[in-house]
Amino acid sequence: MQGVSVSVQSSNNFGGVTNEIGLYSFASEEGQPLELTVAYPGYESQVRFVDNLQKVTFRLVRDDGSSVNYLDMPSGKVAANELTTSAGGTVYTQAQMIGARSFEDFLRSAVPGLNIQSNGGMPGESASMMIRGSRSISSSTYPLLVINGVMIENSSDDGSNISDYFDTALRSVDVKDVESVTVLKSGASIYGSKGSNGAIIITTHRADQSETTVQVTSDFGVNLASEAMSMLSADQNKTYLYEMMASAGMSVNDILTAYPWMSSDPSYAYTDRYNNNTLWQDESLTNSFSQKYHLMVKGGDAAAKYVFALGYTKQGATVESADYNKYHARLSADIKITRVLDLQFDTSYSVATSNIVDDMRSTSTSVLGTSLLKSPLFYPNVIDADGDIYPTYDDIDPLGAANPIALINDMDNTLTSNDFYGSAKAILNISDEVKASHTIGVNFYKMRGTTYVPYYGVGGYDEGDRLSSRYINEYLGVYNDTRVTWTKAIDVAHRLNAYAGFRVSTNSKQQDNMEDYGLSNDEFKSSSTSTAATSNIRKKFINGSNNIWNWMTGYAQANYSWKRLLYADLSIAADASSKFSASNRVQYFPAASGAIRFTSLPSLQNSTWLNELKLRGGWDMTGNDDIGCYTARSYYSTTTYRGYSGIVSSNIGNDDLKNEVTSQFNIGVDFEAFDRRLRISLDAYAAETTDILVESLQDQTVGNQFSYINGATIQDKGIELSIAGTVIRKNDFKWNIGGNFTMLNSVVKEVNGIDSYTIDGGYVAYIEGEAPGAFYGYQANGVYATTAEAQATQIVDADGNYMQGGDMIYTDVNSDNYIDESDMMVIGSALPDFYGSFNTEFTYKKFSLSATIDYSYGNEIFNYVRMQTESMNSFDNQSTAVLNRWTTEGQVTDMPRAVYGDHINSAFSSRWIEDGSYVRVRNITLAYDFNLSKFIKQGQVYLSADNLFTFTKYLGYDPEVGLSGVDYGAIPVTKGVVLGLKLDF
Amino acid sequence: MKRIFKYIVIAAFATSWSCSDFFEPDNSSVIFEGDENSLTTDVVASLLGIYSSMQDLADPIILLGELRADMMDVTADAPQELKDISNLVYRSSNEYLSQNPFYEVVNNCDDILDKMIDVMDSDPTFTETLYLNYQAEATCAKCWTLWQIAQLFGQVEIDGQVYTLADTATKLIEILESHRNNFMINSLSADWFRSRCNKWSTYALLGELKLANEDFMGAALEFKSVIDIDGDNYHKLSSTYETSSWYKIFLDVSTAQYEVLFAVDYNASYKQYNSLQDFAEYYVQCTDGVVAEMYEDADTYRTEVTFSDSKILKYSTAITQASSLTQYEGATPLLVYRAADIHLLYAECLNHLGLYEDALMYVNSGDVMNYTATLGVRGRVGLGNIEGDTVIDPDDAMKVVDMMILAERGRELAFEGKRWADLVRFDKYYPEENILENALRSKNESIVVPTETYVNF
Repeated sequence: MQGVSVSVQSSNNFGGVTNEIGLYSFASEEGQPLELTVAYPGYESQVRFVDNLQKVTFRLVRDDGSSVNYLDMPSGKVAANELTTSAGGTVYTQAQMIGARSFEDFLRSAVPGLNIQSNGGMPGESASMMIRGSRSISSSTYPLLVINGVMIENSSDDGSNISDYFDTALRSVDVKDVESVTVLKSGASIYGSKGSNGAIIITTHRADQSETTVQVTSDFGVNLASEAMSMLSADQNKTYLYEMMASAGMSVNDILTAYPWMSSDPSYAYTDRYNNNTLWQDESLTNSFSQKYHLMVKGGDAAAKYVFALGYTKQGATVESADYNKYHARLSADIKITRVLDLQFDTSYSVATSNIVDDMRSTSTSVLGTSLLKSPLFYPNVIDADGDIYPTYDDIDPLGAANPIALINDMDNTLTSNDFYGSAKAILNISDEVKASHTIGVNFYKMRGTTYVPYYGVGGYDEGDRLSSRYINEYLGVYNDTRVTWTKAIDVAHRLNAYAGFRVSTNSKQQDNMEDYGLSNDEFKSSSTSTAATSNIRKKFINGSNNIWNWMTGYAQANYSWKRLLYADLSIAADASSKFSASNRVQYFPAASGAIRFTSLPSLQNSTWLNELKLRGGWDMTGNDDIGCYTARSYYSTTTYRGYSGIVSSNIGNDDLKNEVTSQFNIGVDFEAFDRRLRISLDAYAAETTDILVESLQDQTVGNQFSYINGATIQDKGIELSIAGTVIRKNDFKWNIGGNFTMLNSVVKEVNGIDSYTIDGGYVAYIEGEAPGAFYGYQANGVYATTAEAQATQIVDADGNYMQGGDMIYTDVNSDNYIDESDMMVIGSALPDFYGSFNTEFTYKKFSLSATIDYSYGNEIFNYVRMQTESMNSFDNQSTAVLNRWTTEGQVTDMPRAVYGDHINSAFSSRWIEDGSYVRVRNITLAYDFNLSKFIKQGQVYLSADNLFTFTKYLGYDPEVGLSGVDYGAIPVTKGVVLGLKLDF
Repeated sequence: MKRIFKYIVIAAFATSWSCSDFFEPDNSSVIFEGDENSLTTDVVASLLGIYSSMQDLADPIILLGELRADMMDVTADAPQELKDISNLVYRSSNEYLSQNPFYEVVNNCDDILDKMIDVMDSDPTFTETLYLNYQAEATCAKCWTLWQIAQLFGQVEIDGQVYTLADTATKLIEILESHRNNFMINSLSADWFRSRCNKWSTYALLGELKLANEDFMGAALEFKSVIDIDGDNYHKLSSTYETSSWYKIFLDVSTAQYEVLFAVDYNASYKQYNSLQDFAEYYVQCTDGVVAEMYEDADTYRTEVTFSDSKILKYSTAITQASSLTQYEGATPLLVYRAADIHLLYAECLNHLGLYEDALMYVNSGDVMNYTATLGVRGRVGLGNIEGDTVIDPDDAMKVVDMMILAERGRELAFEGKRWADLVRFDKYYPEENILENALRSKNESIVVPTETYVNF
């Protein structure tokens, strides 16, 4: 090929271009090693070290943007083929870019080893995210986020006004603002005690040329309502109610006295009101809309360049009262002050308002929960004796269930978050070899949650009264990083890049929680409109907390390479944090890794088919300091007695507490062939995390029942494979396919402390030899068909009663004929055996069609929703599955008998554990590029469909329930279609 | 190059050494060890902290004191832990049998007792008189809590040393005795002292401890100093709680002058609940028949507050609603010592000292001769003499009167957490009568009566 630029680095540097037959020749001293770099626009540049030159052939490969060639590492930008550790980057496929509803969505299928699961369908909610195995019991497993070089503390990990609802930590980053993402899976030691969960390094767009460009994106979407579950109809429900009330010891007479409407007697005034057939799910599940607008302007001159982005997102969800509104702005600037001094600024600000809903654990305020469990006999509105329907919502029904329609319309759960990031980086170019930089970053986050629970239509709420509550969480973090970098080419063969630096961070977080009970009417929704002194507020509670933590790290790393054949990296971080006592304050986190690139060997350099063959290996040690700010210290906190303040000892510190420490071996192979049409990357790792924080039972005389100790060990190992292929690479027609596969195995090795924990509805345990956080309960083996069969076993339940026909058959693990907690066993794990994704993209002329498919296999889900709809122990409505319930001696079924108040047949057992494997067509996108005029340089229209098809045996609304694997009935993940337009000016 | 590294290292160490605050940042919502107790107000706050930690003791004290005994039973809905307690099955996993909340109180007491003396140096308003007063208060709270541990669990660790139940009373008397005269508050009308340990609760505790050692004279003197004339400052069975007003005893500690010596208080306005109302609502009930048989028909003022059919009312909304005092919803006080209890204990001592007629006077209609205001336990609720037409044979009087006292304690103090200890104590007086075993069998015929009367696992 003609005109390819060739540069030669040797004892002296020179270069030129190839001639018409693609040849470039030059003379050099015999035996003089040199390094050749070839580059041509539209093609990937290549570098090669040559020992003894005669003739070298380069096969140029068109750069079609389908592979990641550079990654942002802690040390800066690094060529992907020179990495020694395991790290993955993302490539923008149309599907990922367009279909992503959030940043988590965008990252989801990108890199093997990174597991991201939505916790439900509430837009704006944090997804659960984990790199490699679950390496902690009580600390966070969320990866470290590094945005534009600033390490970000997860400031929203304390929850909100709704249990287990977490504002996403990635709220400030819009997918369209992002230039590159690196997922760092090994070698994160440089991040010290923040590194054991891996790191996600995000770099936003920077202006690279002085030309002013404007990009506008706008899209509009429709989200489809989830499919309703099959619940008992009005008639079936009434039959069930009669049976259940009889089981509660009521005679028909008692029933008709207590609930006269049950007789359907038309002369009774409430018969019309309480004899309907309302499909509550149809009333509450709804279609919704989404809109997104994004504007990005890039420009500047030689001295100063900027990127400005502005966005607005509005998303609905499948329950009408849930939605999300976000405004965000970002400004990045690069300024060259003098020849030696550069400045970089990044600021971002986002304001998001979410309307969120309770999951099914909040029995009286969960829209979905009450829609499922409320009897269809009732009606949303009041109906009078003449059958006239009133506009007012009906109150809680005679059976005590709340009115989901009143919840949708009268209950508020709003969360507003304000998030500011600002960072400034000064770079001093001292010489060609030495650079110094200082970064200062500030993050301010404030989240305000407001809840209003109305009086009518909501039953059994805590205080049985109107409630107005506020939850405020405020975080301020300041981050400093000073660094000196030294880059030295000793000669052509030996290259060294070293840096050392020092980070300091101060953080404070404050929470306030206020509750007012007994507001006088539904117009007073806020405590600011009335105070206890001036209104009839019955009760007012205020509490809060305050956490301050500071840390500093000294770190150093050296990267050495020889002839672009052998690579060696060494790093160390010394970490000190206020979370630990003075005796354990400083901990060291070293790492070493190396790589050999076989394709740099003279014998393979000129291979016509092999582009890259590299073996990587390394060891690293990282920590997790998420032990709580003051767990290690003894302190007193305030309390009240009769309204006067008291002081009480509330923590007995443990001076010995230290970081949870992960030691990890990683080995990897990178293989590229056939002009890089086939790219395979394979990693295998084995990690052991020791000193995991566990609760430990104290001697009773200590007074505190539990204290935290570093007492558990978890091992995890896995294989991560990513394959990408360019099947067709023509000018008009391109076809790329790819996929990734992650297999992992996590095992608890040791727990010196409490090894089982109660979760809502069940238990999880950390048992030696089993997966961490495995579900722990009874093993259910069907239902006794006859009482004779049951009593022949002589088995007694936890209440001391003999099992009878229609009861669940539980495994009596210790064979003592008594089913109690000692018969509990591991009955499932939320960790998948393997998971991953496939993606494919066709481009034909200006059309492109792409698809992403995700899969997860072998993960189990605790279906808490089904536990509520099949327990048959209360007057709640149940699913149609209970029509198969055991009713007569000899009946063979897997559905036990209905017993009012039962807690034996409905106990936490394998009955509620389901296979959560799924294959999901995450996204399909069709896009068309066009050029309209000189003014509009480029345009694109796209149609994108999310989550349209899911293949699973899981019985709940959606198998994507978050990494905890418990389906608490959060609103299901949204599916829908988006139509959008992108214009570049 | 080297110089730059050197600066970084120096900067690093300079930062870490020059400001130790960096690694021990202040916090406005907690106080770290070493920063506490420098003012009188801090001492008072620490004392109030003791009582707020005492609030956790109501559940175990009531459950272990009543549910194990003959008057309280579980409902079908009760969790297994409660059923176990009712059946005298003790498993260490039973959260209601944890000693932690007790030792938490003890440790809070020890903490302030250790540090209080230093406050005299830092705050001149913290006088020696104040010091002795607060020291006595904290000591009383500590000894009372230790006594509960010993009674419930059979042994207790006091200042690092383990004492068996038999040795505990003597040890606690030794600790507490010297503080008895150090209390500053001598007036019953003083502001809400009934919610804190005070001189009268100290006397009552010393009396209980001496009674446990069967030192009836010593105990009688302690109880007497609670109910004896001291200006107007004595506890009496007054007309304030006579007949239809009897229920008010269980409502508002701050106005329960003359009746309540010491109670652990709760307040729903500050989200301080005990679970007793919930227990009474769902999980525990009166024992079938027994309660009804224990009361005479004329005993209406007590029964209407104590139970209705099998439902226990003493902690229920039936009482709290009557008062319209919403702060007591789910937050009825734990009455530790009240006048009727002390009068009956005093009667018990007098009986064992051979003064059975005097003893009966307190059970019946009061010490009319001396204390005109004291109505007597039965007289206050409009009942006649306990002996009725029975003519007591002086030779057998002690046992007969003791049985009467035990029965009256059951009726007067039903579900207040005293029953188990009463049964155990009277069982010891008359081992041949199998008082404890008979009582337990009346609730559950198949029950295995343990040889040890405390929780031991």
